Amino acid sequence: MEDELIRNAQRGDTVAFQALVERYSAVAWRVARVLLPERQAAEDALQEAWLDAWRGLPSYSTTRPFRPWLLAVVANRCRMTYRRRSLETVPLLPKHAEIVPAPTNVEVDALRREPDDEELIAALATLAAEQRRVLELRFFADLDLAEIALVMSIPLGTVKSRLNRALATLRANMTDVLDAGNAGNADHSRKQTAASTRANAAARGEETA
Amino acid sequence: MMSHDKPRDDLHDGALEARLRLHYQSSYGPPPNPAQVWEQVEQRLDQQMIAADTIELEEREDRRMFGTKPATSTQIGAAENARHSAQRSGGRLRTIAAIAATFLILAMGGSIFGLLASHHGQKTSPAATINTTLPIQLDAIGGVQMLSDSNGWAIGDTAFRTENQAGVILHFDGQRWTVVKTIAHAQLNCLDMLSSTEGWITGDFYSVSQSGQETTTGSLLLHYQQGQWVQEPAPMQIMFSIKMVNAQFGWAVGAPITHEGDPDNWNGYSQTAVYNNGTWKIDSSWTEAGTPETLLDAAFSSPTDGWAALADNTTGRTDFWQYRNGHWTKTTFSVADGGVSFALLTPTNGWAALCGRGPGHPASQGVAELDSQDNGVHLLHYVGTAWTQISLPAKLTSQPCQYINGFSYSSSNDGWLTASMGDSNPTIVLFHVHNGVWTEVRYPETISTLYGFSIVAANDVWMGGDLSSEASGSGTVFIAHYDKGVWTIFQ
Repeated sequence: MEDELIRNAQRGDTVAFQALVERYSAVAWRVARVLLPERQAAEDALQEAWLDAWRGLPSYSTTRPFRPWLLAVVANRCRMTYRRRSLETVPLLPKHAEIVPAPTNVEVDALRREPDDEELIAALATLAAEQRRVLELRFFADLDLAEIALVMSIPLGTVKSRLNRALATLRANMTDVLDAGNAGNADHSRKQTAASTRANAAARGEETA
Repeated sequence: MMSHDKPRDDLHDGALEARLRLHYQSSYGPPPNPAQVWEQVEQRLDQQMIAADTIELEEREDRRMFGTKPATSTQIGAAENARHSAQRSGGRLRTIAAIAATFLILAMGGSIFGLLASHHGQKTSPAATINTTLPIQLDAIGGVQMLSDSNGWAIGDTAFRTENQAGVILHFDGQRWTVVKTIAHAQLNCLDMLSSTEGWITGDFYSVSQSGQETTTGSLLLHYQQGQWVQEPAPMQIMFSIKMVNAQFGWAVGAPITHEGDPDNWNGYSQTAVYNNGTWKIDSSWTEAGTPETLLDAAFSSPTDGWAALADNTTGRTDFWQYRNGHWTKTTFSVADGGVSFALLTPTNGWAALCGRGPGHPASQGVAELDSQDNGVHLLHYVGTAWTQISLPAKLTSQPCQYINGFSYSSSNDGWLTASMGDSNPTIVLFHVHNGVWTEVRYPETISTLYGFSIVAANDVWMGGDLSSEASGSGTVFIAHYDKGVWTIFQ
């Protein structure tokens, strides 16, 4: 079905291309949002990316998966946009985050500890930017690890290491926050920190060794 | 109140991931309505089609005015069949024009790729770029290592994320790269060639489901001897990197598989293994030396001399450990948490590059200067008794460093460093140091990532990287050769 859409779009069928745009618009938007801090810049870049995809379709080979190809198009357009806008952008801080209504999913919502999850926000702020980006691509854009590798232009092993290191650091930092309010009972914290430390080990070793 | 006798329920894998998803959904908001997205895209397409038609009409007029060869009916009639074709042609032409303009600028003096002066005032000659091909399209580069300018090896992966994914071993003969071996369902992670007759490769095997989901199924260890790559039993379930001191002695970093069936099926518990006279064995000397910490990097200048950087999350610092005569000892030297990479030449001559992530991260100890400026890259030199800090150009120290992607010295006088710098959207910087003078080396604008170095001679270095291609819209990995101002890109 999708192959047929792609082949038709390659032949210039805009209806088929519309179906592809609508099918992938959400994931493409999420990737652009992660890669470009400003919403407007991300959406402008995404429009350009769709045009890039339209232009690039004739050279796309249907023997390869479409979604990674499209995500690479989006990522490349975002990179080019960022280079042009690099003087205008500022680091994305929690206070700059857009305020939107909270999701209504009760099951997921029950896991929230605080309305703004300040603990998580504080822990995220301690991560390196590239670790935060891997987390966002994984848990916001819902990309698989290979897609993250493609979008970030890094080896799959590096994606794994960054993701594991980021999660381990988050756990360690959030545990530390808890421990700071419970002085005198640090044994568990130390064990957990040691575990997260080990979790970081192979990751960093892999990247630098 | 949460008990400390058991792990926090809200930090286990599923719960933390759910909190992250919820946080990101709240922060970023919902995506736009797909139908509205299409409306905007359609408007842009219409505009471009009209523009393409206008260009075509202008071209027809030009041909009429200047007597250019008339277009064929097929060329013109294509617009009748589908205006998108004309629009696409316009797009390609514009891309070709952009590429041509780039080469024109190069030819006019290399102002784009001209090398910047460092704060030491060093300038190098303008650069040019030569594009050439690899015998196979790679989706990842695991490493490049040159034994000479006519004998080099590289590893990578092809058909990424598909059932046909394979690890690829390539060889360079001075003119071209050829495929020596492909290993189905493998990812190749690290290459270490000791000589033209001795080398090692580490990797992992993957299974890829029809939906494209990958699962690590085991490790891969290849040994090159007598002209053949032969698989050997791997000492660890996952093999990341390998560093051989000589043919008889070496180290590997890896991990056990801990989450069977999970695509992220290792949780980072690291291991090291030692190769000694034909036998690999899990190294336990860390345990004997004390609590193992986060292994950032380890390097050896002889079978009995080495250094390792281990991060301690309880203090937020990275401690330097020294390996002597089979034992690891934690030194009193520690630096801010961040990436550390070693380049050891001899037991009494080595370098370490550190990555400082800026204010808000723990300061360093042991080198006073680092305490006040943890931002950026720091360079330390070991001369047999102590580590001392070496000054670096402001560009390497004035902004947070995210990762040191490549760091290598071929001698006391010649080295290369590339790092990812900046906080929000890091960009890479590339520096060459020769006789103590640091020079920033500009790279082709289309390169988005560089990693690893294999130095052949001063101003002659090979590396891997990623090339962004606007024309095809797809990222392409490459092997690059920078030789005295000229870039050759193999992709």
